[in-house]
Amino acid sequence: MAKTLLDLNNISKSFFTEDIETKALKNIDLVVSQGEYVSLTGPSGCGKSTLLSILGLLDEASAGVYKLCDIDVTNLSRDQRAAVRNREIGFIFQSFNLISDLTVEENVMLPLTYNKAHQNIDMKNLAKEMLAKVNMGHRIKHYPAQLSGGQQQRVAIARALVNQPSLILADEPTGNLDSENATAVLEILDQLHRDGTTICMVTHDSRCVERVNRAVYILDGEICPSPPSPPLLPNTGAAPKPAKACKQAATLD
Amino acid sequence: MMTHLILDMAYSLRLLRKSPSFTALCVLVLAGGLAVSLFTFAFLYTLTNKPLPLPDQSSLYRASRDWYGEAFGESRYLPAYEAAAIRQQATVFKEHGIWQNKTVYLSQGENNLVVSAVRSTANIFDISRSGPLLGRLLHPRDSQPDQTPVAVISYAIWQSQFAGNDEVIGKQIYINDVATEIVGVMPKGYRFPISHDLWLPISQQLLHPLSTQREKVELFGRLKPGVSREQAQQQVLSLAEQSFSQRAETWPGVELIRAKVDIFQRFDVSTEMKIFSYAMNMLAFFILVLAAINVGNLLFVRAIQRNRESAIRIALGAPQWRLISQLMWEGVIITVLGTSIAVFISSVLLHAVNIYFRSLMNNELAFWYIWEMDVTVFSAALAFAVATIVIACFWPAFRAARQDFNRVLRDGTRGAQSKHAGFMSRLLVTLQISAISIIMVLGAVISTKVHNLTDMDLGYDVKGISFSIVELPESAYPENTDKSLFFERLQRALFNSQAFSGATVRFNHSQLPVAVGGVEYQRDADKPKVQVFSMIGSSEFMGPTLVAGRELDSRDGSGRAPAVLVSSSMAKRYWPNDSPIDKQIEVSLQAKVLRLNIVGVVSNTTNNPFHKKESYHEIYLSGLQFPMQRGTVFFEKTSAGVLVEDNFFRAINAIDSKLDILTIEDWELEADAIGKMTVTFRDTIVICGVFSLILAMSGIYGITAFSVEKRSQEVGVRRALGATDRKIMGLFVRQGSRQLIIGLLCGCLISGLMMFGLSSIMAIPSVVYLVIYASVIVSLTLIVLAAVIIPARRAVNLLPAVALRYE
Ligand SMILES: Nc1ncnc2c1ncn2[C@@H]1O[C@H](COP(=O)(O)OP(=O)(O)O)[C@@H](O)[C@H]1O
Ligand SMILES: [Mg+2]
Repeated sequence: MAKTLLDLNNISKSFFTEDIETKALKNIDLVVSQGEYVSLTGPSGCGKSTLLSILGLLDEASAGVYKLCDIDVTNLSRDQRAAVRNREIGFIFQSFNLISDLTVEENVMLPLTYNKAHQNIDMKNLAKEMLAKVNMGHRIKHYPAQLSGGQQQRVAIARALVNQPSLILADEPTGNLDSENATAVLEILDQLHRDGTTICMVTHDSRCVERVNRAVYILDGEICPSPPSPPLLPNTGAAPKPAKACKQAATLD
Repeated sequence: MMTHLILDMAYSLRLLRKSPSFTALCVLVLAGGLAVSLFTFAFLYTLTNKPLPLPDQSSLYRASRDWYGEAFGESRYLPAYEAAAIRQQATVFKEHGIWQNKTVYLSQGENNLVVSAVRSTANIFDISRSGPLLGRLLHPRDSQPDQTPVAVISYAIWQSQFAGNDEVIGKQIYINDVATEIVGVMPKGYRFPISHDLWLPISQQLLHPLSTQREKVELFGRLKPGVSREQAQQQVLSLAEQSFSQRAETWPGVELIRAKVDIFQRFDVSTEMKIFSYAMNMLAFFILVLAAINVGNLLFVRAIQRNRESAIRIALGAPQWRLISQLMWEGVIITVLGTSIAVFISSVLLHAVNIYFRSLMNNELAFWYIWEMDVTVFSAALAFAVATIVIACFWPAFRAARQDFNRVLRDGTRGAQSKHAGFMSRLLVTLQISAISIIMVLGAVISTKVHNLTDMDLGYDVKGISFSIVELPESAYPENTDKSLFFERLQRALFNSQAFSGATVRFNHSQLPVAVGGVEYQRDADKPKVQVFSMIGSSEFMGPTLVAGRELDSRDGSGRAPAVLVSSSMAKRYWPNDSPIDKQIEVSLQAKVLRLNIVGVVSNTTNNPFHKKESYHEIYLSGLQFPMQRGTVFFEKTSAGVLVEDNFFRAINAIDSKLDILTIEDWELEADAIGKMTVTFRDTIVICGVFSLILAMSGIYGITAFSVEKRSQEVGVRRALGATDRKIMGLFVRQGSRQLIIGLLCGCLISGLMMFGLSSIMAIPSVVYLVIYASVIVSLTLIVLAAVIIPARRAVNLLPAVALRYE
């Protein structure tokens, strides 16, 4: 049995706007093992993005315990959270979120510059390698605004991967893309999955759901126990490699 | 199209109402900055350039010439006969006249009044293109010796002395005890040529080139079309030289230096004052620049905020001009509002200044100094408003309307359009830092200088002291002994009078090279320049006071070996470890080289407010040995109730009743008025400086905070990628520091160059410069850091999940 990577226990999240409480998440229990490829689906506004933010330490739960690599991250300091995000997690957003004033190459190098352990490595080369992997090696000096949506998303993926995270969090990564670009992005994710990376992906897209090995359905901030139709299809890809373990979980204290 | 414009305007009004604090900030920044600059501009413009309030002031000039003589130093003095000669031969003037300043007693029944009068050629009214309110003007025949003396009076005199009664014409008054008939009244406000209230015919004798009249007069008139000021000055000088050379033997030791022809407004303005007003204008200009940058900023930020909206409108098919009009109206409304408020505030301020100076200067303010919101000042405000609308409203709107809307809409990174905007806001902040550093340095230096003037201890005790300048006619007092006799008698009479407790007569020989005994000098120029006075009577009651040795007295009369007193500063400088008494100095005075024996040391004083008394060296000789034609008589009244004028004139009349009427100045009042004026001046500068600092602070803070806030989403992305708080803060601080350093460098460079240009009048110790620059650098650094750190902290403290949702 693969080791547990994410362990959510009774997680809730509320937003308060002018005294009105919005319960975005209610008592979520979710366990994701290393190497799993999980999709999160559900109607708009049901709390998928909120859940992903909590998984990625971008937001804090109002209640409950969240363990990442067996470590309770609920009480980590801001800097420790930043370090976890940097080393363990790669984000892919629907709206790409590239920094407009930086070139493609600089955008990809960004996570490396935030990691002290990477001070002596050749960041430029690593970035170039990553960009070549996503087929963007020919555009490294461009600015984001000079790229198409599919190209921007591939750059964003290269940026998410450059630190070789053990967990990829993707929030509707194909939502702004045409089907051709969407397929290309999904293929990159498939490849990551085969390489042992754990992936959690929020999606509406049934083609995405086809590719994952577990689909989690959310309704009104709660996980739905019964899988909705159509039923899940078994994963068609090659057998996955051994799952990627938490790299530096031990160093978090 | 019209309805569209109205629609757009209504839409802008709605937007402005929706963000009242933004609107108020813009209007206030604009109104404040413009009001300060308008006021400063109007103030200085009125001092030096404002047209005279006369029907036609074009080509109206005054002319005189300066000479230098050992008996009186450098002075502006145009003798009557020379003026007449110039007038006869000059070709540069279309019309010209001669006037002479006279202070006279006007008596009518019991009433006795000192009036500032002018004796002039009859064409004075013609040249100033003015007619009488009542009666007639002067006529050339009034100057002839057999005519009844006549006078024209001013509106103010007519009102105060004759209650505005129409029957004033033909009335008899006494002017210096001469029965005179009033023939005319001038209209309200007419006080030509300067601040005169009484016009008398000038005597025919004075107007003849061959007469021996040496009275001091002045030429005035209108230049012929096409004749420049310089040409006129050239001709006046050569004619003056001609006339002067014919009588050179009557003026031994005197040389002509220059002629001066200038407009009325600038005739008496010193070079120092010109430089000073130049510096003040620079200050006002930079404050205006700052205000403009600020408003530009705010409107620019506004346009950026609406960039996406504009892109959507373009996509929906809005024509370009509609878009421009929509974006522009907001700025136009703000500009119009701000300018109106600024015009209002500055006109109130100008009115207050007008009242203030009038009350401070009594009636002596020249007639063209009227501070008010006039056409020129208003046009300046209008020009500013138009420029602001074009630069800060139209241009950004034009840019926004022409943007690559497709890119903006397509842009998933939210804010790719800000590449150019980011550069602009960085440039604006840098410019602002430069401008405010210049303003701070300039303001600090000027106000330090002015403050030094207000705080200056001149070394005199002016309490209860009055003075009067007495000028003896050369014809009646040709020899030194005649002069010294007169002044000695006057001093003694005043000193012995019950009314006065001290009296001294002082002659100013100006600064002369002095050789200190025992020191070898290669050239004359190596000798230190020292202020040389001669004195009759002890100055113990007002300063300088005796510190060592003895005073000068009757032992130092004519025929005796000349003795001298030196100031403490001089003693300290040249005999630091020794007593200067019985040492010798050498000075060349009245065409003689004098070897002087030091008999005493007196306390430090200075008669030049631009020099400290501790660094200003003076020597005092005996006025009995070295009198001059013109001496200043200082005297101290025994009690506040003493009728100073009566007692002083009684003393003078007892010695020589034919002397011209003199004016007596109350030194204490005068020092007080000057002190008040300089304090007001200093405070105004400080207030302007503080105001611009607030302006700049809010501007710098506003833009920086806005540009940091705009990057909230970027901050979210960086944090999602694992950037620590310190890393992100460092990023912002580094960028802020770059703007700070570039801005400060430019600002310090420009202000440094300006200070260099102003060094002749702004001489303040280099330590003060250092302190000023250091505090400017430190305070601006703090402001910029705060402007970066506070909003950056806020952005960093947002949860990344929230920041990423940021639009
Ligand atoms: N910052 C916030 N403040 C208030 N309400 C929020 C905030 N973020 C999300 N919500 C609310 O929480 C619920 C879940 O949102 P979200 O997770 O974005 O939904 P989705 O499943 O579409 O991604 C929604 O009702 C949304 O309005
Ligand atoms: Mg969502």
